[in-house]
Amino acid sequence: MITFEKFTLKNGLRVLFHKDETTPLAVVNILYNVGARDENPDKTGFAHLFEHLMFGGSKNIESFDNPLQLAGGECNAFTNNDITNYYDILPVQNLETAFWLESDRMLELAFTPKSLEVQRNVVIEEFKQRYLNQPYGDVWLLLRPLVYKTHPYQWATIGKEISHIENATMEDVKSFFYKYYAPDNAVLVVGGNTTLENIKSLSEKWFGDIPSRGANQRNLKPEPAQQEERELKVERDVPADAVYMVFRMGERMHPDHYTGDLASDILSRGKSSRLYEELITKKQLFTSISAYISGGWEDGLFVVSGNLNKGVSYEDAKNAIWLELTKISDHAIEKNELIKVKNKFKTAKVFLNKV
Amino acid sequence: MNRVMNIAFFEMMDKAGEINDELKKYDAVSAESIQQFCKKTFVKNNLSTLFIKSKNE
Repeated sequence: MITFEKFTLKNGLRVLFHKDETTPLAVVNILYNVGARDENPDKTGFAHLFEHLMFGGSKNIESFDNPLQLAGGECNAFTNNDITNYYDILPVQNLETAFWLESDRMLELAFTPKSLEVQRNVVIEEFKQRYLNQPYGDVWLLLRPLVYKTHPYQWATIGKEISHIENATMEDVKSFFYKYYAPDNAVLVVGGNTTLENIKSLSEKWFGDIPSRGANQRNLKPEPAQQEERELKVERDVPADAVYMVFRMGERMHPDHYTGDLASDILSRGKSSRLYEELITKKQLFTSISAYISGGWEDGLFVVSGNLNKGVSYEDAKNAIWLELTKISDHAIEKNELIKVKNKFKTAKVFLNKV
Repeated sequence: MNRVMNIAFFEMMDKAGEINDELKKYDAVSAESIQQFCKKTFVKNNLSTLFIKSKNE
């Protein structure tokens, strides 16, 4: 059971407090309601670039990392197609340091040309290293536009192409900030062994006077249902042939999310799972195989992917996966198989929430 | 950490009240609903396939 208490500041910042007496550390998590889906199609990669800029100094604080480290804390952040999330972990008695740091960068960034230059280069390097030069790194750069033809999920968070990052100007950065980085476009969650009263007074003190800037009024048209089978074949400098079969499956809060998640476990969680047993152990068509769901908030994907054994043709590999998908569609699974997979899943889930 | 982040995600979706229903929702999944899901999802018209051929082979 996850418990929390919630209040909202006058400027629209939602604050949730989760009391946790089991740890001397506190977590300060700020989620901004902006992701790659909010980007202009000609300026992609911006939400992610911005995440980097948030560590380049804010209005009254030159360095984000140093004071946090001095307080015994650490931080990180990530961007995906839906949201941008920042968190700090530090000893609970130094909690206010995180409030001070996070509120100042919500108030205003330093917007120095140097920071833009540095972070732009970091992101360009990341684009090259992780997406272009790493084997299979460009898979989602290829798959997204194959699956999505109108919705902004068609580009990855790193962006469509490097030039979009290279061409980012200070004006772009500023307008992005004031549009999306606002108390009324964010959720602050604090976990730790303290009191609601303390969190209320810290939130009011540090975030209370940041002006509202308007919540993100998102108006994205849903991607129409797919009408035809799609296929893309490319040649790359990778160690083995690989196949990715992707099916659309609806939004995050739909019951299908849970059903699809368990279906993916039946297919590929562990060595006794169907795909592993049939396609790796018995037929020896693949060296690795996995099924998983993407969990996209607006429109999720069910993915089956695997690396082919040497000498196995694309057609044989694809047909073999298809056969397993047909089996699970044509015959209801045994109750025992379902119980087994639910138990495995629950253990993993409960364990995850303990951390 | 995961708990705190989950609270943030659910609140952003305006579903914070449902955060403790996640396990129940998984529990509610039946053999029949899995079959129905697979039947409607795993169809050719809903499939995009990417094949990456190794230059080294």
